[in-house]
Amino acid sequence: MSMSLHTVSPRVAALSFVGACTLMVGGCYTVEFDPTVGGAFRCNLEDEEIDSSCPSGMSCVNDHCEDEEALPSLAVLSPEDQLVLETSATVQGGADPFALSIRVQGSLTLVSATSGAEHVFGEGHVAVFIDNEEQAIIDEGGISSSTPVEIEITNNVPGPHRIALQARRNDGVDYDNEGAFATRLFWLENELEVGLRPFVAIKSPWPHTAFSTDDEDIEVELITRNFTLVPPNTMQADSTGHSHIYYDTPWPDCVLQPDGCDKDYLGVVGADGNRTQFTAPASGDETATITAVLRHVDHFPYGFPFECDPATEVNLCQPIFDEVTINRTSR
Amino acid sequence: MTLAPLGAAAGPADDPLPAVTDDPPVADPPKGNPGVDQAMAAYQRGRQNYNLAQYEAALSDFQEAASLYASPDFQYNIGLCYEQLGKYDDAIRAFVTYLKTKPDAEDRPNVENRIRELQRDLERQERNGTGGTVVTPPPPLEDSPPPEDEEAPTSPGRGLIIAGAALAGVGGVVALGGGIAFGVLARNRGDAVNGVQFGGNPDDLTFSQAEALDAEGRRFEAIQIGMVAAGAAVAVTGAVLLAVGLRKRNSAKNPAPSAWIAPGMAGLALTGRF
Repeated sequence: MSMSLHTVSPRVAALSFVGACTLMVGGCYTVEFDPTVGGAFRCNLEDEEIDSSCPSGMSCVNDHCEDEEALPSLAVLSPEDQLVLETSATVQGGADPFALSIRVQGSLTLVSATSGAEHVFGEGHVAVFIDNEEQAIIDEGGISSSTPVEIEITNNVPGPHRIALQARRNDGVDYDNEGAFATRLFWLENELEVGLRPFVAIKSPWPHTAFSTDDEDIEVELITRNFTLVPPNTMQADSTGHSHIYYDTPWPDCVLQPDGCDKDYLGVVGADGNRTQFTAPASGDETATITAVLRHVDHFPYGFPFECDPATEVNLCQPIFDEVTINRTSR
Repeated sequence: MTLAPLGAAAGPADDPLPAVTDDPPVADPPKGNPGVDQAMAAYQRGRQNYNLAQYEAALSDFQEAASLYASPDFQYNIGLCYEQLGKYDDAIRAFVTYLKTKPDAEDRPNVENRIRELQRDLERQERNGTGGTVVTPPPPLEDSPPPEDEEAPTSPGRGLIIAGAALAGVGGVVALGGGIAFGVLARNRGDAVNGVQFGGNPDDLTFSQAEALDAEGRRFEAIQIGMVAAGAAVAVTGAVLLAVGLRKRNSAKNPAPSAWIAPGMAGLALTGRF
């Protein structure tokens, strides 16, 4: 092997020295800009003049761009949608709690909710809600495969009930991407009234969905149990009718007020399937209610038992309705 | 020591007289003018007399030539004659006249050196009380190089030195100043982008804002490199010009000894001068 010595002319060496000194004193640009760095870039700014969109392959989660392939996701595998379970409770209540088995699956690295760990994207725990009340936390093991969770149902009155799963960060902040929230609606029926008492449930919007404070078009989707939605008509029929949609009306108290509730409904469901759209008026940052009330085909209030009048036979006849609370927010 | 040439009338390259400068430029005299012709004839006689060491006669001939045609070179030859006659005062005056009337004389440094030598000889002569008739051989030029601080403003290479120094300075300022300034800007942008990517994004910058910062940083870096390169190129050019100018000045200040040593001192030919 032979080696050769390199020689550098003094002039080149001097220039190199000057260049090196310049770079040392002035510095240079050594950054490798990486658009795929998760959690770095701010998004979802209120200032519309600033482009706050995320780069391709990233989604905005909690106001920061995150890798779409690493987003937390949740699903309720059971109970299946609109499953009917029997309860001994009546609409007035009065039954012992019972255990409901839920199976959960998702993509989230579980970390103890009490560990005080700092936020790491993709880590956290799962909060389980029944009828908007937090009932359990899943923060051990894994949920990449079907994971059973036993929940004690205390509010076991007949009617629609809602299960919700929320992926939550280590620091207690909810992940706000769409897949980090999963829902499931099921029915409870009194074992003595199965197939008799009609029910209505607002499937969409889900409770605490956020809407702007401007005039807002809200689409409402209903599901019913023991009741068929039909277009308005003149002949009353058992288990048949439509639903009126009310916005921020105090059901059922308004039934007993002199003017009743009838003048305030903003939409009808039944004329065209199980959906309708109404325009909610502008409001401040506050909560509001959407109420779906079953009506006979001729618009009279529908009660149970059939042909009773909820407006006059208060103790005998119950109006059939469902109500969800939504959030109006300027953000 | 050699007589100065007179354009087309200059002597052959193998003229036996020693040369004072390598190649002094001489203007061509107008042809066909009776006064010029007479001046040329007087000049030729002066050359012959000078070569025969008839310095009085040569002086007279050159003075006659100078009265017929105003050439600075005649003053130079007159100076030589006075020097050979030991009339250093007159020789100095003639050489000074030569330099005044020929500002761009390429042999200026040598003539100035000769003047200083003559001034020393004159002082020595006055101290010794000797008369003006002592003939002394021309002193060797290499023994008395002129001091640098007495450099004439029109010294050779001066323009190159000034231009070179200016270019080197400008180039250095551009390279260092521009490089450092834009380097600092580029580094600031880099720090900001790093802060977004790995420092928790303290300023809550969006992707588009970070992307703009990145582009800005790269642009500053390109400008930095461009300014360093351009400045360095200008500085190198200036340095080269400076070096050439300095070399030219030094060579003019210190003529090559080979041209002046030994037989030249005896007034014999060293190089072709005419």
